[in-house]
Amino acid sequence: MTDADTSDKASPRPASNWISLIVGRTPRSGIMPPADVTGATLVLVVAAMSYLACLAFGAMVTVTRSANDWTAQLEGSLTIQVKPHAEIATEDQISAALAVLDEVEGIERASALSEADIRALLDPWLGETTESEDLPLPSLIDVELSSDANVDMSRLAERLAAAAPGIELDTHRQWLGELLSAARSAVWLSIGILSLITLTTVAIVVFATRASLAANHESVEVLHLVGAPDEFVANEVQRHFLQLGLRGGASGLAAAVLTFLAITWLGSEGGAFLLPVPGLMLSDYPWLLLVPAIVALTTTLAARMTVLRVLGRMI
Amino acid sequence: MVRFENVGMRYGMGPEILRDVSFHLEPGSLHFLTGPSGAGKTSLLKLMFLAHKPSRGLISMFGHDVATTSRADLPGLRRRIGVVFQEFRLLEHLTTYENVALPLKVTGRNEAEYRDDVEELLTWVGLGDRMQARPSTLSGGEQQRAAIARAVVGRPALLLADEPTGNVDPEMGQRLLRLFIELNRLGTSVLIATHDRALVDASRAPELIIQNGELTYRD
Repeated sequence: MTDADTSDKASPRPASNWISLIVGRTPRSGIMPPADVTGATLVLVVAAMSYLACLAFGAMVTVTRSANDWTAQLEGSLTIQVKPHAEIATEDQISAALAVLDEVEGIERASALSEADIRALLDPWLGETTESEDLPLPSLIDVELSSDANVDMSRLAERLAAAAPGIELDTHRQWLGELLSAARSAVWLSIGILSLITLTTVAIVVFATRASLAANHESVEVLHLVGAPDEFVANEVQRHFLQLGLRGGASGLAAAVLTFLAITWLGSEGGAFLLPVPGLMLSDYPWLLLVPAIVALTTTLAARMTVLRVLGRMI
Repeated sequence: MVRFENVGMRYGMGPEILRDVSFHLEPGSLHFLTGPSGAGKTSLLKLMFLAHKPSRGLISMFGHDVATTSRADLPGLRRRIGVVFQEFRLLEHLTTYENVALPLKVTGRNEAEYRDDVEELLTWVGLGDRMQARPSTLSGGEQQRAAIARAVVGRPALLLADEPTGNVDPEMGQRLLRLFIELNRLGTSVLIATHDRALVDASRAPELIIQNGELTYRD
């Protein structure tokens, strides 16, 4: 046997694995053409869809966790506002309020904030206020409730108001309610965006599959005529689209991770955003892997169903 | 094996291309299908390799009425038919080896099971040193032989060849005819559609003559 004979022997089928799917090395045994006009465009579109889906998913996770944190922080605390009053000294107002609070069961701790603490609270909103000594500020009493506290807030507000003029109870409930309502809206908006992205991806893949089948009509017809069952052709086509979906999904995920890292970094630097943006926690990132997985699955299923429908029209 | 009874065929709402076609092919037979261009030879072959449905009449392949055979069973019937297409229809992105192995691959068999058979067949048709070549780099005769190898690799019960000598010189035409006769001796029923009178006269096999969509039989 000559060298030429040896070199012309059919090479063994290389093992296909998930790495080859991602890096785009098509197994030689693939029957459908490895790339067509729709391939590169589809990878780009799927990457963009995955990127947007990751952002929407990340926003949903961030908002949900922030809302939970705010709720946990605020539900166990109260603030009592002591406004300056002409008939009574501020110190007496505070003493009267603390006396009332001392009698209420379920209150773990109650302490008046110093003027420096109050000014520090205002600094992020009004700028440096230490120089504005003339600015009249209400005094604040920070109250911490025990975890099993069952305080009648209406009754407490009445007792505080009766103890001294200018004392108001702030349970944060109105603010918290509005905040949670906004958070819930943001979560639903994210779900809506994710649904829209999924539907758009399906529509694009169906279109791309039809275009791919039209471009590869000869291959499909020959496979059909040599006796390939529909399942075989569908498997070949769906493998092609799984590869495209994984490549696009992975690219979108990578871009989204970089975006979230940038947001976290800018948020930690401070001053980049009006509100504090916590960004994603390290434990959130693995969840983002779901996005390219779902995108690839959606792409594969949409391609498979389209192929089977098209083949079903052939005799 | 193949039975046509009063078969008619038309494309869409067009005129009838085949009219009242009736014939019967026995297992192990060799026939030619002749007739002028546009007479309906290729249309008749399309019905036989199950690429088209008749508009009327009965077609029975291997004892199965095609009209009542479920779609899921048709690939199994197609695998019992080898087809040499007039324009070869080799897939350009596959090598000669992969093209010829296609009918075996689609059955889901492991390549290790059929690799030796495919290589042996390619050597037999004179393409042993062209296994890794793409179809576009093959000559017309080589493509013809690759298409024939693909048609017979699955040891079909029926071989249909549409103008198999249309792109080769007379000498190669005679060699291909000997190949078909050899396959026929091994038990495959063969139907060759051709314009080539010399090929028909050389074999002296019965002839199905199609003219203006109607079929006659000549022994």
